Amino acid sequence: MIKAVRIDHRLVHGQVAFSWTQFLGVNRIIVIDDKAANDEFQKMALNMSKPAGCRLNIFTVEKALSKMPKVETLKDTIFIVFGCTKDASRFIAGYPKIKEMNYGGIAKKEGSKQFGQVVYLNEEEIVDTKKIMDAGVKIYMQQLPTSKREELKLD
Amino acid sequence: MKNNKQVIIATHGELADGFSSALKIIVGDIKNLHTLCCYMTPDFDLNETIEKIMNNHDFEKEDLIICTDMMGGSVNNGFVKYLGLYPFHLITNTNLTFLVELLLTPGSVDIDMLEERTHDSMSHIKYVNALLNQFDNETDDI
Repeated sequence: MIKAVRIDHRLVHGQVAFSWTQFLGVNRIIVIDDKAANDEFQKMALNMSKPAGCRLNIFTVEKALSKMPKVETLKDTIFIVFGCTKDASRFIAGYPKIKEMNYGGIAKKEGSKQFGQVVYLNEEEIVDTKKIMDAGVKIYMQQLPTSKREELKLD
Repeated sequence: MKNNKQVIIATHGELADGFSSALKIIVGDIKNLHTLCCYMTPDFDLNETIEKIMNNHDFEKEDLIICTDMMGGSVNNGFVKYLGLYPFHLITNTNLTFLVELLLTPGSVDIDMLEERTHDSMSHIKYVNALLNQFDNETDDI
């Protein structure tokens, strides 16, 4: 069962590996990020940050989409983490079954606008976000289980 | 049966507040976390401070866990002297991983749980370079 879906530019880190995993009772994290999936050192770092008793997969968008029929049959409680809006919107285009997504952290960059405490989107990311919303996904922002959950509004 | 705990990080200087700052990012606001930054003023009296903590804590109601910075350091030594007088738990060589785990576990603590946590290899210091091979391509296939 897919318990939660998050976009976080730091992928699996303290907040995700400890706070969210424990809060959600997750025993498998699936990272979907083309860049990370093709970077051996990044993969090692992610494996190091894997919480005890939790499985981890790091897939490209393409690989993740091909694995979804199998993922659906797993008995695990699954947490999907994307690193960027681009990969998330490409995934959603191929797998429109996700109901909601947490924008847990998207870094500030040149020309980006602030939408939440730790969520900054530039033009491209806004376009991706619209695509995700148009696929029927409700987007909210919540950094930690204890922090307030806010709905993302683009206008 | 106690159903909650108070955690005090006690360190030389401002390390305790530094831990608290880091914990705020990873875990969020934590009501039952307190810090004790020792030796910040010339007249700092550790014994007096410890006695005040112990006398203000209701041991019937909640567990008290003191996390100090360094085995053999004066802060930890100071607390050791009080272990026979008050039923608190004393942890030393405290690090962020241990604190995150401790604070994310709701409720009180017990000896078994603290024993297990302090033996958990995730929270030990590590030479990461030497670990790289171990994590090479280690994935849980679907």
